[in-house]
Amino acid sequence: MMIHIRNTAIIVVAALIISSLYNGFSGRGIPWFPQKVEVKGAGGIARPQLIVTAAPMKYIEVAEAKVKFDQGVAFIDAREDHEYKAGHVRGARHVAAATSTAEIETALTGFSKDREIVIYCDGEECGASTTLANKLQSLGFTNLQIFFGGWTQWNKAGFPTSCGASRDS
Amino acid sequence: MQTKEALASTPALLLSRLILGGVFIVASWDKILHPDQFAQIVLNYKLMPDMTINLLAIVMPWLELIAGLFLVLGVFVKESAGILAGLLLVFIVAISINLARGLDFDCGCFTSSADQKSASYWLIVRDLALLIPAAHLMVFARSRRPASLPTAQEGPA
Repeated sequence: MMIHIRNTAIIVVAALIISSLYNGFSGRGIPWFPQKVEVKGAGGIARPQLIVTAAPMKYIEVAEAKVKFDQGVAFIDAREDHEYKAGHVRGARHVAAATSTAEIETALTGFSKDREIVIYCDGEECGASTTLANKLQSLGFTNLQIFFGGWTQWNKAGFPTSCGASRDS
Repeated sequence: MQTKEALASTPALLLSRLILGGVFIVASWDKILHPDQFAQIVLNYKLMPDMTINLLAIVMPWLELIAGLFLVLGVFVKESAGILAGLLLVFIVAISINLARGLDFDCGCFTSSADQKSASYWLIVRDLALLIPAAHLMVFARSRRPASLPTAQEGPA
């Protein structure tokens, strides 16, 4: 078994060069380093949140989410099916974060790309809302907000909820 | 030794090359198309230092694709198999750690969606299984000297 370090290096260097070019010029690139954004969580406590994508999402906390809710802004629940069924923000649509972009487009037929949307998942530590938001961004949606605190905070605050299957899931 | 000859035969090596290379080409594609989603998955694993997450998400899919293509094309076979074996080991360790600590994560292997609750055990088994063609190629594939080096004493692999 004779593995040539030089050949290995050639492969690695090729990957470095091609990926750098692709990341720089393909239009699909992401920043080389993630950015830390201070997000206000429950009780106004600022927490650093790591953002890996180029366009940082707008984060809102529970009080602002309630204002949006009262204004009739669309809510999307990014959690798993069984979690959604167990309880969700009243009127929220269910689009699990794992949904393919094609299926998301079908699920959100009739949504204009600049429509205001609030995405939430379980709570402050869950990546589902960010993952879904990234997908919506790649589909061209521009007015996205992540409700930091999610279901946990909403439920705790005693704001309107409902349970059962979604007409949209 | 017959087994050894069979393992070193061209069809056996070709099979391993196509299996390992094919899997990694397929696996890399979605990550290359959606580096943002892949970066989020790497983040969700909560294993890598913050500053390395995006670098990894940018470079690793291309390493998989290039090594996979080289395997299929039959170029730098031992080295490509070695790199992919290294990646498989990293995946196995990463999945095992998160399995042990009960973290909800996704493998991010064939898809770039972060929240599919994949069966981690199955992923580990699959990655272990892929180590077989990788090891096969590392041991039995015919080695090539880098072009610029004299083709000196190259023993049988």
